[in-house]
Amino acid sequence: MIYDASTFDLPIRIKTDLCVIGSGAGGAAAAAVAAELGLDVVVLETGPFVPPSVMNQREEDMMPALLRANGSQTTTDGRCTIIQGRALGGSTVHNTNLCKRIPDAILDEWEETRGMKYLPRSRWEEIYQQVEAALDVSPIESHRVNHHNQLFQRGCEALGWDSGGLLHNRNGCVESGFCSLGCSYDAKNNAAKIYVPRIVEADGQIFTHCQAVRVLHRDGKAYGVEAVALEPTTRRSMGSVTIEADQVCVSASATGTPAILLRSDIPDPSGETGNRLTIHPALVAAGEFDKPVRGWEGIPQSIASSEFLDFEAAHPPQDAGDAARARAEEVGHRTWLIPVFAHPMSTATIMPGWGKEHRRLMERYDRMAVFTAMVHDRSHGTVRPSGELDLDIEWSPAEPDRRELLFGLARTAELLFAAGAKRVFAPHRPLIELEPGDSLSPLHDIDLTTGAIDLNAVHPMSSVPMGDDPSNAPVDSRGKHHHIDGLWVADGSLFPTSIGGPPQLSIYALGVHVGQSIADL
Amino acid sequence: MSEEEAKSPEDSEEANGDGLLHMTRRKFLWLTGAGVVGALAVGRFGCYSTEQWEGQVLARWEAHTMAAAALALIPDEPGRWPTEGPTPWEVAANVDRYLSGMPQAMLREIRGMFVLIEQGTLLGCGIRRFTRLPAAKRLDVLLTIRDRGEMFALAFEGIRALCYVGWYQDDHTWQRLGYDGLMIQREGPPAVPTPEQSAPYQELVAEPGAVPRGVL
Ligand SMILES: Cc1cc2nc3c(=O)[nH]c(=O)nc-3n(C[C@H](O)[C@H](O)[C@H](O)COP(=O)(O)OP(=O)(O)OC[C@H]3O[C@@H](n4cnc5c(N)ncnc54)[C@H](O)[C@@H]3O)c2cc1C
Ligand code: SF4
Repeated sequence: MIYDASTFDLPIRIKTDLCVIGSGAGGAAAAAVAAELGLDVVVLETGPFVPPSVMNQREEDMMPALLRANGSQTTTDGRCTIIQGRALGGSTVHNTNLCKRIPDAILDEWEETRGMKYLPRSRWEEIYQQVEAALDVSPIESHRVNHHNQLFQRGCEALGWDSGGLLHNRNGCVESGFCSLGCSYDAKNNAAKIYVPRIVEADGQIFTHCQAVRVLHRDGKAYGVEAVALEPTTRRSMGSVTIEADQVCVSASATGTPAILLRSDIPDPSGETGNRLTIHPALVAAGEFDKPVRGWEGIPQSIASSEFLDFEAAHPPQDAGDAARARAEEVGHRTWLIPVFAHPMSTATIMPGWGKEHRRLMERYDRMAVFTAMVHDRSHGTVRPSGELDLDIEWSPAEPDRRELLFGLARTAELLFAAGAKRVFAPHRPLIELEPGDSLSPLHDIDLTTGAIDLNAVHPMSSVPMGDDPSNAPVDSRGKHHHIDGLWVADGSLFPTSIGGPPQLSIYALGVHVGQSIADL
Repeated sequence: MSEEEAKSPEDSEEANGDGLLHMTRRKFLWLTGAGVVGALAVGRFGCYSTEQWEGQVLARWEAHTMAAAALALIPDEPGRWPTEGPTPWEVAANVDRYLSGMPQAMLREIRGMFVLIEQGTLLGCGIRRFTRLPAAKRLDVLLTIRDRGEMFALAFEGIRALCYVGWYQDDHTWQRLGYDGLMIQREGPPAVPTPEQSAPYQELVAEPGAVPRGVL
């Protein structure tokens, strides 16, 4: 069952076989599989359970209900907003449901550099198939492509750029366009809809409003989790919840997981825990059209362009020659282009300026298209615990990522013009406004170090990277910790690098893999 | 949170003589904390109007500062409040609701931001606090803060963003944007609260206070 820990008689102490921290893509899948294989499982989730009947499509209600820091989480320098979920089902509750496997070139590189003996290709195939079946992954039908995405496609066609439809995990979608605020129609096949009922069915227990503080361990062996129940409104600690468990699986996301491991003084001679964060940073540009675009209507993202995403070029084999290595450093192989749209409140905070200038920009809201360039990043950020309940994230783009980001921003502008925009805006302070035929050099010249333009990211990853050699990885390719028995990781932290595309499918798959590995032990 | 709590500066790190630029977040918090102490010393936190304020997160003076900043930043011209949306005081109330449950570290930063803005005139040796200034002068103060760069520019961005959080969550502001609002309020397919669809979720949830299995 799902229990609200804020209603427990505190303090409370509970014994179980496996304690899973976090109920997102990784944690929910791991918990469901382990429970179905016979383990007694307790899942701790810091956020609330927000069923579809409570979802009201209002930004001011759903962002605080579903998102960490109410959607305002940033790096410590404030320059990059990193959006993550904090509700039962994690970030899968508010995400946009795109599904994509990790490309071969990246899996090849991982095998070369990290071993991956427990995750050969045959195993990936097996777990991908299981997850795709569970989530009912299917192509987004062409009649569901909204006007906003059609404009994107039109721009790609005009430029001769590659573009194509995407896969998603929805059933019964009524094309409301409110995916980022949770689905009132229960059409998203997310962790809360697919895996949470399986956990409960298999007699697993889920505690919401319950935040893990540290993993308990002694003599190289995990023996439980120290957690607190949170008051639902203030989110302050109400009292302790202690879980005694022989197995602990940390699935608190690529930011939450390293924070817990570091706060718990989990040994890691490789020094990688919390030091290799990647995020898929993105910049956006908006284009003004003569006719209404109404980008908020319909499935938000259904078409993307991989014209500047060449995984083979970006990931040459280890024994590749100089030419291939030099090519990998060239700009324009690591950018994914896709439409994005936000509801008024979020759009208004992104739009630069104030007063008249801002109001005039917002008046064009219904005639705007917004395209984003998301970068398959290589820069490494850090995550550190902050006190008992919080964490600090640092990430800033190293030179190759900086160049790639600005290259991508210029391509979004080009694409908007090709789609028919009469004006393009980059949300730079001060506003950069371009007309057809203008040089795009103001976009290439942006100084990303000054905070004059906001970076956004929705895919934190790779902060506890897996690898079979304990000297360069904290956990092996089963997600099992190299140095603490009974300790596992199952979430986006596990990727050894960023993956250049939507990660949820692969994180669910890793959850299944880790859950089975725990039960098999 | 009481007003007293709202005023306590973060005391974990000392300010040094680095000047205002290139400061870390902690130093910024310390400085704004120091601003509170200085402001208390000259009595600049008293005498706010007794207008009804039932905020859960913002103290009364912070709500006043929020409303005053909204009046400077939202209208076409500072002080000429647009008629289609919430009042400045309602903007502050909307922001207050939105901030509920924010992590404590972020709330500390937001409080620092309010101190900086309300007492920011001190940095320029101004005598009157922000909320006492005419709207156009308030905009000048905000832009002076922004122009100091780094964390000050972030504080400006913070208050600017909160203004729009408070303004554009109100349905009355949407018509001008051509935004037709929530689909669940329009003609269309029913949302999930139909009994058949919500029942499977309700069945998963234990009664409040229920005792889980395995209690020691
Ligand atoms: C706006 C947005 C759109 C996205 N769209 C897509 C998309 O279309 N396709 C795609 O593939 N991916 C998408 N993603 C990303 C995807 O949702 C995430 O990568 C994925 O859900 C991450 O899974 P995870 O298990 O690592 O973490 P999460 O799903 O984030 O789950 C982690 C959970 O752990 C909980 N937690 C954290 N700390 C603690 C603690 N100390 N104690 C207890 N619980 C804790 C959190 O509250 C959270 O519920 C999107 C993300 C965002 C933000
Ligand atoms: S677009 Fe579809 S999946 Fe997204 S919120 Fe609307 S009905 Fe749900």
